[in-house]
Amino acid sequence: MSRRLQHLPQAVVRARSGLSTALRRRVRTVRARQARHELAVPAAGVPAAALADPRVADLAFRGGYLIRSAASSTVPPGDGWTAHTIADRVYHVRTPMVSAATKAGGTVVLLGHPVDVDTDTADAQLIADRLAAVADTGSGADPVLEGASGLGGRWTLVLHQPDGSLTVLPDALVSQPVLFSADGTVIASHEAFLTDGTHLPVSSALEVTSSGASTRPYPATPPDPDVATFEAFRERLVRHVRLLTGAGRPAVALTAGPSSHAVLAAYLPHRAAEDFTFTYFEPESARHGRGPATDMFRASALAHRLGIPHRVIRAVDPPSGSVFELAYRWAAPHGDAIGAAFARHHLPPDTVELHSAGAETGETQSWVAMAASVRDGDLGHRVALPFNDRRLLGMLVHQPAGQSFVTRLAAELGDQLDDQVDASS
Amino acid sequence: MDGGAEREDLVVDGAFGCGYLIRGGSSTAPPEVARWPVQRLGTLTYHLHPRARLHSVVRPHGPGRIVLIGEPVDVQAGLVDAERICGLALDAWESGGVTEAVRYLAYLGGRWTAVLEPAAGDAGAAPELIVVPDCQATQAVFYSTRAGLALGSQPPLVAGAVGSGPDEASQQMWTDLRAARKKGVIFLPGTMTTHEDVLPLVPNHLLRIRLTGASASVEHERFWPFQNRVERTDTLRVVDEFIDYFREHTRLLTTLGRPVVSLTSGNDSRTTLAAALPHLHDDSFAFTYYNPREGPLGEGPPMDVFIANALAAAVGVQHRVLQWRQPAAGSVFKEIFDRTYPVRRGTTGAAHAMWADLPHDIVHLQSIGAELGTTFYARRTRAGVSPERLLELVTGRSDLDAGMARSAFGDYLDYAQFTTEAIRGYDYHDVFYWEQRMGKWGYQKYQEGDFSHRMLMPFNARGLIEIMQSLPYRDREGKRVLRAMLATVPSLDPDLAERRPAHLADDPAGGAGAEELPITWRDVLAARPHLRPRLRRAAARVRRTTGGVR
Repeated sequence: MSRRLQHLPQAVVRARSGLSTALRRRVRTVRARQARHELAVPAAGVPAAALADPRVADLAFRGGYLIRSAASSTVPPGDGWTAHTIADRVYHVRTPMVSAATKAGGTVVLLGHPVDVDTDTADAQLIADRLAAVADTGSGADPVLEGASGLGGRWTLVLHQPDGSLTVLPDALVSQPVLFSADGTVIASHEAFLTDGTHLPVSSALEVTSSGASTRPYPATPPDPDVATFEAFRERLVRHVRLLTGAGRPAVALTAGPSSHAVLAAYLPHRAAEDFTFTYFEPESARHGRGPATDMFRASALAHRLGIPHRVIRAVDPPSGSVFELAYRWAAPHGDAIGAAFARHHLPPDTVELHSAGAETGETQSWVAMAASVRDGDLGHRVALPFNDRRLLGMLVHQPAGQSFVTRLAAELGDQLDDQVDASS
Repeated sequence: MDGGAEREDLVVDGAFGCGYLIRGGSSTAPPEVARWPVQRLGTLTYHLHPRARLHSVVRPHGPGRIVLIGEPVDVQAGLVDAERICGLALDAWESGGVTEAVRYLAYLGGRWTAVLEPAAGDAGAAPELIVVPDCQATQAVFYSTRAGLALGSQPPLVAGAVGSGPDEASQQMWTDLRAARKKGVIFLPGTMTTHEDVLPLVPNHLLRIRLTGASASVEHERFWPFQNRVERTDTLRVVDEFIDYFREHTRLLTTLGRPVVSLTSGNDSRTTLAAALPHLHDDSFAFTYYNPREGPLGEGPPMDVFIANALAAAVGVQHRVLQWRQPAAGSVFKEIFDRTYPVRRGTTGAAHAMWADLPHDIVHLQSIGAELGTTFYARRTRAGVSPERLLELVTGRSDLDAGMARSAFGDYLDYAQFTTEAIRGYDYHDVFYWEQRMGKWGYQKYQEGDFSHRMLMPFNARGLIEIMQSLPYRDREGKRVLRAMLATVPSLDPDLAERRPAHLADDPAGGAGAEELPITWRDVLAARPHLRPRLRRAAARVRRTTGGVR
């Protein structure tokens, strides 16, 4: 008895040590959650604390834009915005912008990083010039929309008509959101600029006239099913990826699934220096299932077999009150993947992340707008979307029953991954 | 080939990987070695695992035969050619007798076991064979004279050759140790092995064996330290000597095959990577294993993955994350493991991950042993060497029964000549760790890799350990030499490598975080809300109880 009492403190120390690590992590998480809650995003969508630090606005809205009528006083927060005036609109942009005038007095504006697989170019100005030339061949917006609908990359098209009206067409997956006010005086990429705006849905175009804003389905006709062959799909995807990775440091977001493997297969024919693959991983995820760990193990195995570097990045919430935390909350007020976003933020800033969003198309009659979380990567680097191409998505919609082009392409990696990884666990 | 034969081939290739059994006298070959190549050299029969290497040199009119099993490395001569190393050992034997030969062998790096068999002398006089292990006995030697002579890399091989069975006292000791130390490493202490009458050859010791007809006798004799320890204060020079020695040893090891580095977030493995880096092949890589179940339990294991992965990327080395996992029942690996450890099994997850996921043609550089030169047992007292003190070292408990200490180490002090005088100024904490932890636990860690490939240890070199142990304790504890080595590769330097990416560096709140507030009961309840009703009920019970007392 006396011996037990004598060593009680030691037992207590051991027990405390065992509990403390897990408890400390849990307490940190809860504290961070409470701190976020207390930030209390005000009605304007701007946390008051965030405004104090210009770095927050700088980080939050990379790749963003705001288009307003000259009469509107809405301006985006922070520095780093470039302003351009076209017709009666002022463009504030944190993304590349090119324009081309039409002979009739209109203007074609392209925001973002469009690429044209058909003409094999990633030169946005060339693309805008071509669209302006298209505008001169017919009347109305449709010829230009038709000319733009086959573009890849990530972009938003704004067509200024000579009569002052606007037509806005986003890329296939609406990778750059299009929010608009009911009167059409403000069009923007982030809710923080337009808290009561309406999102332009996928497969739609926005028309803005003097009477206000309205949407219409676009394109009116579905893609041609005759071109839905695996060979055509593969060729176009490979060409698209090559254009997307022309600048920057390519990095394939890799999991255990066929979608990311298909992206990797399309990327491998034209590897660039210092490229890599990556998987973000949250150690605590084991509480909820084996999926994330399996993603990491299988991605690691595949990258190793292919000889391409693989980075494993910790998905963990940023410290409460940090620049990233504030920027994320501001840019994505409904975001629920801040840990993953913070992990992606740790990648080198010149990274061009190849994300497989859209690859799941084929299980439905049409595609859907990509998940907002895909855009979280924009805070740190460029996110490129190999499947963000209406022709490719159309082929997936019309792929023969029982076939999956994505799975077939993934299989080209010789992806007979060790099933014993799971089987023997 | 049918599936059964193919499976048996895989099991034979894995079980006792790179091991050996040496027999003399009336011992017999156990079934485990039935498919192993056999060589008869002198009075001994050598059974070699198909992946084990044996080198032998004998000269006309020379003093005898030198046999080296494994991969010896002569750092001073810059040699990995085992035949030439055997020749140099024979030269030493010829010029200075057995003592000089042992001394030459003792300073070899790599991983090996040496047998010196004198040339046949006068009829009737049994020649004295000498068996020498490498620095940390990483290629273990167990032996028995129960029926003739058997020496082997694993107790079951030896036991099978002499007809011995599992040792019940060892099993009881294991149970007692686990009860005393719920978590962490334990190993069979002292002279205990899993099998009756099977003894370990302790690092820094040799065996003197006399074979007389069908029987044999063995003496277990300390040969190190060769001289008294001299503490050195010319630290910079010591550091330079360490770096030169470690680099050269590692370089030589990388010439033995396709080098691969097991990497964690710790300094030991990154020091190995730093030294191996210039010599890695195009298809070399680093790897870290990870058990997903440990993710929610603490930061250590996942941080090993994240940091190791970042370090590998920083120096341009491919990194692989292996899934630590148990083998499935009935699987090939399960059979490999069970055959190798028929009595008591350790954890199989790491070994299985390596066997299943790594190429089998690699030379795996493993960093165990660095702590011999830095420090391991940090709680050092002035207490003298005694069975009680040794048991305290391995369990972290000072309250254990004296009988348990006697069972564990009662005969060890004599067996290993483990006295203050015998270890000549070296700290017994260091020597004990070297000889017991490495000798009794370490060999199993190395076997984990040997199931599929060959594991080699850059820190397994006596000259290196002597250099490291010559430093004052504080320098050793501070890992001075490792830090100096890492400073030569800034990407791996812990002072620099944990820097955040440049684009994150200007976020003062995004770094390690502001000073953390202490955890209060309010935090605990917020973090674990399900405890709230239980605590409320407990508080009510206490109130009722105290109310009743009053």
